[in-house]
Amino acid sequence: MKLETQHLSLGYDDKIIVEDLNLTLEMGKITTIIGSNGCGKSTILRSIARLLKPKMGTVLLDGKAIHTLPSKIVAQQLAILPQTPTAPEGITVEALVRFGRYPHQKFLQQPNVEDNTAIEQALEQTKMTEFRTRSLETLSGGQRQRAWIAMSLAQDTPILLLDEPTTYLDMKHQLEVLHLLEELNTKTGKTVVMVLHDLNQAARYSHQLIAVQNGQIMAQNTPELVLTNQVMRDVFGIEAHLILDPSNGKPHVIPFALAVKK
Amino acid sequence: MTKSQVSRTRWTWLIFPLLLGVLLFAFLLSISVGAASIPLLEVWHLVFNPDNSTNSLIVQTLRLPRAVIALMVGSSLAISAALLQGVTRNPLAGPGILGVNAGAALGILVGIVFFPGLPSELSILMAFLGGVGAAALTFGVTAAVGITPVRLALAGIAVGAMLAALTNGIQILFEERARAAIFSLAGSLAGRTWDHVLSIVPWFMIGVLLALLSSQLLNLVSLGEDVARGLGVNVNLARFGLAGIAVLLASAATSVAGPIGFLGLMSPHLARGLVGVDNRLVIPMSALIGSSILLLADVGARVVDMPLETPVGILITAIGAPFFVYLARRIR
Repeated sequence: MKLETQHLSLGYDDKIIVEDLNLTLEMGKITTIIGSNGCGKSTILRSIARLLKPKMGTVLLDGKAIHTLPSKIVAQQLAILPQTPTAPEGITVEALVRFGRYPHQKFLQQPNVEDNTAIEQALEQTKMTEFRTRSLETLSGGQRQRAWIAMSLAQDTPILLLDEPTTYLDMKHQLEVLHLLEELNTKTGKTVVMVLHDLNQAARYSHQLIAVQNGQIMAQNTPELVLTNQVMRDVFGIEAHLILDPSNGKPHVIPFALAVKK
Repeated sequence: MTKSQVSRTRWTWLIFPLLLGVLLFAFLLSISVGAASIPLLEVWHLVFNPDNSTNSLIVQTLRLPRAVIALMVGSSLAISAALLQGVTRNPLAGPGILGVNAGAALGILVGIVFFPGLPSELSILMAFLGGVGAAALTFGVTAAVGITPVRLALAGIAVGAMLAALTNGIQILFEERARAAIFSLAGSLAGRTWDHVLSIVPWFMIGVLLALLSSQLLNLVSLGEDVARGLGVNVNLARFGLAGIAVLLASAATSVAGPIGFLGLMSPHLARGLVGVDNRLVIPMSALIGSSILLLADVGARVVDMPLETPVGILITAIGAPFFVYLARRIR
């Protein structure tokens, strides 16, 4: 399994956001795309998930252009959880998770043993089993997000993409979601690629960071090597102290001033 | 399986036969009530065993085709609305609200007035073209300013009003020729015959079958564009297909009954109240509810101002318009 982009140019209408992007994602690892607002990080993730058609260039999944592969085949390899998805009012957690099996089912096929096992596992991994019959709008924000992640897990793909999965969640639920993703990665070797806003969370939970500015990759490496004073200044426009988190030895960013523009 | 799932499944199994019973009752009642009142038991007998009596003649040539039309029109409009509400993810959508019915009526009138040589079987095609055109116009107008549920509904109502005005204009200017289109413009079920039944049966069958087969696709599309695409659905193709089925059903209904608003809009909401959000259940349940309501309203149309008939479309609007206001107030 391999996921990469070649000479990718992205944008909306006649506005170009990303130009000539060449990126290879490490399999079996957690990779987080970071950058300031409007830098193109979500745009890149959406195009990798074939939700956005490239203006030029290609996204290659195992060497094949993802936008020309049958969508259902792609959905067996790669799951995407978009930013703040919404479901029809009244839908239950279990019904939602069941949709994750769609890429594996033939037309009008009844769910088989494999489907049911995948659904049970997804509910269990996200600790949503007890909420399976509850409708989505009766759940807390964190539980709702776990239900959506459960749907993506039921899809049973080696790659999971998530666009800002912690947005609108309070601190505890943010950690809950990130911890779950970490667990999935260590236990099942799932490749996780996501966009996050919080640099410290990104550093804490990722093997690799990709810092993006103006649609260009400024740095792609381990958190220790990406989170430098230079990157803080160039990419985020801030001056920051970089210390090591005593609990896990990962870099921790403490901003103290706006960077002076040269 | 947990407890509440079991009870929901049981409840669903109970609710379908129950509504089927309501539909059967409404069907027989609509054959029984009219200028000559025929007892329900006799209706039951005469439907299956026609004889030489006057009542039998009334049942076989007047009331039975009319009831069958109501059954098909009611379920077509209801299924059409269920599809449109799912595709647009808009609880205010329906073939009446989005202007599809008005477009279909205009299409038929244009066919009859300007292409008098056109064989009558093709009038459904004209209705379909009119319906597609109206839907495209509604979406085009809304997309230009950004789609929200209420804007889409407003644009649809405006497009519908404009097309209805156009229809009225053509009707006045070409009074003689337009007379042949009267059944497609009235919003009523009076005087419909077996010929009308036959003219829509194939389209009705195809539309209902396709709607049932694509109900799971509708479920996926109603999760939103990104999620559906992520699960491997070709969203644009699915939307076109589902909207096409919706327009086909609404056009077939309009071609024999004229535009009937709000019936479609209401039925899926009532259905979801009974069976939940799964469109595999919502679509058949909407059909049962839509046809029952139309049959009962058609009975009302006959008795409300006896011996005169009130167009059933007016009665439906009297119930449906307040329902629309209620829905519009609920969504934000």
